[in-house]
Amino acid sequence: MARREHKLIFAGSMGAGKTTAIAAISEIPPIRTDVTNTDRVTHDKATTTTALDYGEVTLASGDTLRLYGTPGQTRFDFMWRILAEGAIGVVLLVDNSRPDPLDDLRTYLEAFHETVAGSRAVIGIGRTETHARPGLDAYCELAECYGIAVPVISVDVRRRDDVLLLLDVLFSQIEASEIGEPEGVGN
Amino acid sequence: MLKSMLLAVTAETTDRWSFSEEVTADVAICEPTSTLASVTLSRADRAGRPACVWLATDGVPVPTGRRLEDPIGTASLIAMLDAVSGELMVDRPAASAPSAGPGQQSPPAPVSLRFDALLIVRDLLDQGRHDTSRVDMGDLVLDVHPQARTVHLSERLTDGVMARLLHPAREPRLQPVPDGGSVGPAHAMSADLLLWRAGLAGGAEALLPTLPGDGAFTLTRWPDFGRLGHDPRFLRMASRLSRRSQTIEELARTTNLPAADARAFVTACALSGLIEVRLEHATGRPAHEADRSRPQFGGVLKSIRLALGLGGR
Repeated sequence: MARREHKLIFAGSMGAGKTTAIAAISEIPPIRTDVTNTDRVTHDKATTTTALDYGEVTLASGDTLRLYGTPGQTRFDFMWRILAEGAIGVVLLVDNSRPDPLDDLRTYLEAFHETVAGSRAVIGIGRTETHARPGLDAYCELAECYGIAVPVISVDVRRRDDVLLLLDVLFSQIEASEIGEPEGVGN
Repeated sequence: MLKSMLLAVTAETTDRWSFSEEVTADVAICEPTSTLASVTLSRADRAGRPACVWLATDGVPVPTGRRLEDPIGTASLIAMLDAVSGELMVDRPAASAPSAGPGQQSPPAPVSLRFDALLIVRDLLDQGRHDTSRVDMGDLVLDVHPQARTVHLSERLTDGVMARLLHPAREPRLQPVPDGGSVGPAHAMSADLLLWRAGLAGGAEALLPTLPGDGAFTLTRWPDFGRLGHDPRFLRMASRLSRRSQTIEELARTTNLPAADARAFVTACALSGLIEVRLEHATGRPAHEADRSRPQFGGVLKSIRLALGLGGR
């Protein structure tokens, strides 16, 4: 039987931790395409991802789970939709210390609307320990403005357990959306 | 002032009344903005007392129900107390009616104080007050800082202390704490984490009393498992309740978990302010119904879980 490939997307603004999250679970050293960051005004880090990050997990069947981190800068947003095509789901990462993290999320909710609305998304908010505002409720309310109910969880993607939590929540959502209710239960 | 007014009018009322600071009183005069008001109301729902009377002040919206205008007039106070006396006479069994005066009766039947202190914490957080409030349970004190969403406990939180929080030794009393006065209680923790843990611990025994036992529940948003901790059972239940309303029995059945787990989870979510109650059953969210036209990933997700070491489902 032919081996299949599956795709999981990590999206979010610059510095949100996409590269770190992929590194936390990839079984190969992540392939990074970091180059010099020319946008030091909006984010002060030396390098940034201009194309994409890539990692892999081999499944027992021999199938491959491919992990893609989208480029954070919005000028590369044409790539986001291409990457999302056929993906199992998307992990949206937001850096709460950014000047307007809600606007960051707005950008990604619009870009990945089809995937998010299909219950195939989870939102991880980083740096809430040092930047408590906006709170998680604000993110949920923003998603509701788009008619979307999506899990929003505070995480530190430097911790592998937190990355796994995001995936666990994402998968739980997908599984629940695919499971039909037994007759006589619910609606 | 109310205490002295009561003394002045008690000769003119049908029954003899005395002042009490306990929630087990027959009448509670509630300020609409008071933190204790919702706790008192929920207690009245459960125990049939106290009769809640809203103190109506100019410019402050007052919920529907019995009310007294502020400042309280003698005539209106007497009228209100007599009206309550009449109701108490009707409610009481005939044999005990002759001695039913609020100031004379035998002690009321004990009412469980379970969750009362935690409901006060919930209310304080909802109000987002800037000042610090103290919840005094006699042998346990809890200072609540709503803005920081932290609490200071007078003792380190252990299973035993949690049991005393859930079952206070006496009616919790709410007191203001002067600036810098939070001296006694020394063990700080997140208020959200305290409510979550209390819900899990107390909900395994019984559902939060403010929730209807036969109600269907929906999550308004997912609990912040990143802060609260989690296990696979929580994720299964959250993914269900975020999509459709379910009763405790249904949630237990559809997730294949014990009813005690479902009750504990719903109670923890409710204490965390994340539960919406639907009294009309079976109100799902059609937009989230299973869509067979979409790609199905259930099979591959099992393989991915296995590869990543995620809890089996």
